Amino acid sequence: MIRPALAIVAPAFVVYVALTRRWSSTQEPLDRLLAAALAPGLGIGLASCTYFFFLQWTAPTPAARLDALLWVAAAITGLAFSLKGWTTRRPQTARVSGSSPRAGILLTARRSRLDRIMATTVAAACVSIAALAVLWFLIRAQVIPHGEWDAWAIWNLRARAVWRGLPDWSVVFTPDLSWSNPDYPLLVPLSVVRLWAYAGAETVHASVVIAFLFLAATTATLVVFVGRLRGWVVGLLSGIALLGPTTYIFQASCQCADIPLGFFILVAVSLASWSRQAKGAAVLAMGTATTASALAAWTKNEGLLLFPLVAVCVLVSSPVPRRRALVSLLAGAALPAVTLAAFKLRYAPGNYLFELQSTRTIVDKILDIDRVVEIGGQVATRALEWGQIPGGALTVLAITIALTIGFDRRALERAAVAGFLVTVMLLGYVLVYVITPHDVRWHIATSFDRLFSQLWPAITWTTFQLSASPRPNVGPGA
Amino acid sequence: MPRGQTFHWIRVVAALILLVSAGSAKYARVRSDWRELSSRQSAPDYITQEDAAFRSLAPWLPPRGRIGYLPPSDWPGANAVRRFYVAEYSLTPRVVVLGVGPEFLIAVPEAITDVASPSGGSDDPRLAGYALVRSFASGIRIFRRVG
Repeated sequence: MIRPALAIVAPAFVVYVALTRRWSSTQEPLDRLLAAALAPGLGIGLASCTYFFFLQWTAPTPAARLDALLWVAAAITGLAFSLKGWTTRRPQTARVSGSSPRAGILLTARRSRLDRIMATTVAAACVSIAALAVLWFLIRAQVIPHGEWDAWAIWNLRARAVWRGLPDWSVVFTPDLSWSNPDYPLLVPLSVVRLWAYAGAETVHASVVIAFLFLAATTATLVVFVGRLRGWVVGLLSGIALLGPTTYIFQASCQCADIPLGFFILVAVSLASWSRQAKGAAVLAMGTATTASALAAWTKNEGLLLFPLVAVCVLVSSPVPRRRALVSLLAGAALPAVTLAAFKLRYAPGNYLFELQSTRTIVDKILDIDRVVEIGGQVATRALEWGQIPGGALTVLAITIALTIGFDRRALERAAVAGFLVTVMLLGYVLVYVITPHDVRWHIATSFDRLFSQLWPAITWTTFQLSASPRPNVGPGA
Repeated sequence: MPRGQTFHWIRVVAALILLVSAGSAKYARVRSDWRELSSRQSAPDYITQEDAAFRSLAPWLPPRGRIGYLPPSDWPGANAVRRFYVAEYSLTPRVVVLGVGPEFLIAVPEAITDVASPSGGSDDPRLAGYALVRSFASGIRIFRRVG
C-alpha cells in the first residue's frame, strides 16, 4: 500500500514543487492550490515517460526500482528546496485572481448572511454531486473490475503484455493484435504497470486507482482554476456541471484513456488561454500547457492534434519575447515529446486510418461534400444529446451560463482562445470520421461518447469564463 | 444588500437547481448497478470468470508464442469475438490467433459441437493432425499438433 502510494505521491510532489518554485527573479510561481490540483495528473504522466525509458533496459520490477530512486531523489531535492528556498525572500505565488484568496467561498466578515447561506448551499450541492459520482464510480469498479470492453481489450491488455512480456517488446506490438490498436500510446498502460511493479503484484485495483485519480484531478483543476478566475461560487458550479453528465462518470469508470486525455486537454487549453494574462507566471503557464499537450499526445492519438495547436497558440500569443516562449515550450514538452517519438519510431505499428486505405481514397472522402455534411450533422446531433441527462449536457450548460452570465474583456479573451482550441479539436475528430475506413455510422455510434468526454472538461472551463459569481474574487489578474 | 446582488443570487440558485437536477439523473444508474451488484452476491462478473477460466490453461501452454484459437460457429458474433479477446487478455504474453496452424490450439465449448470421440477429443475436421492435451471443467480444451 505504501509503495504504490509512493509511485503517485513522489512525482506529484516534484511537479508541485516545480510549479510553486520561483525559477528566476523575474518569474512568479503558480498559485499553490492550482499547482496542487495539477500535480497528481501531471506527475503520473511524467512518471510514465521516465518509466518507459527504464523499461528499455530492464524488466518492469527492476525498472520500478530505478524509477523509485529517480523520483524519491527528485522529491527529496524538491523538499530541500521548498524548505530552504532558492531566494532569500519568500516566493509570492501568482494570484490567478486579483483579490485575496480569502475572498469567495472563504467567507469573510464583510459578507452578508445571505451570501454565507448561498455560498454554503452551492458548496454542499457540489459535494453532494461529487459524492454521488464517487459512489457510482466505486460501485462500477465492483461491477466491472476489469473495465469496459475497450479497457480490457486495449488498455489493460497492453498493461498485462508489458508486465508479463518484457523485456520482449515484440509480444506487445505484434501485428497479430491489430484488433487491439497496438499503435495507441502508453501513458495509461505504463501508469498501471508502474503501480503493479511498485506493489509487486498484478491487480485490477491499479487501473481503478489511475482512472479515479484522473477523474479527481480533472474536477479539482476545473473547480480551482475557474474558482480563482471567476469566483468560488462559479468554480463550484463548474464542478457540478462537469460531474453532472451520466456519460462522463460512466466513461471515467470504464478505465479507458479518455478521461486522462480529458485532464491533459483541460490543463493545456486552460493554461494556454490564461498564459497571456499570467504576468510573472506566463512562462511557467506556457511551459505547463505544452507539457500537458505533449502528455495528451502520449495518452491517445487524438492528443497528437492538441500538441501542435497549443504550441502555436503559446508562441503566437506569448506575452514574453518569442525566444523565451520557445525555450519554455521546448522545456515543457521535451520529456513527453521525446518519449512519444521513441515509442512511435521504435515500436508503434501503423494506424488503421492510413493502413487500411490508400491516400487517394482518403482525399476522395474529404472532397465528398455530402459525406462531410452528413457526418457533421450526425456529430452535431450527438453532441446536443450527449450526457444522458434531460435536455443534453450542452443545453444545461448553456442555460447555466445564460443565468449566471457576466464577463470582462480578459475573460472573453480567455474564452475565445480556449473556444478556438476546443473547436479545432472537435473539427479534427470530425475529419477522422470523414476519412474513417470503417462504416462511419458504426464508428460514430461506438466512439462519439468517449470523444466528447475528452473535450467536456475543457468545454466546461471555457464556457464558465463567461459566468460571474455574485461576489466575484475577480480583479486585475483575472 | 444591493438589489442587483440579490437578483444575481436568484439566478445562481436557478442555475444550481438546474445543474443538480440534471446531475441527479445518474441516480437511477447508481441504483441499477447497485442492484446488479447485490443480486450477484459474491459471484464475479463475466470477464473475471472468463479470465480465470483461460488462465487455468496457462500451465499446459508454452509461456510465449502463438496459440491457435478455433473459431466457434457463431463467429464473428459479439459474444464469440468477446471471448476470443478475453482469451488474449488472460493468456498474454502468448499471442492468441484465430484459426488452426500453431502447435497449440484452444477450443472453447461452442467451437466443437460434435460428440466427443472416445479419446476425449473431437471429430471436427479442422482438428485433423491435432491431439487433445487436456479438457478443462470450463469446457475449454487444449489440442497439440502431432506428427
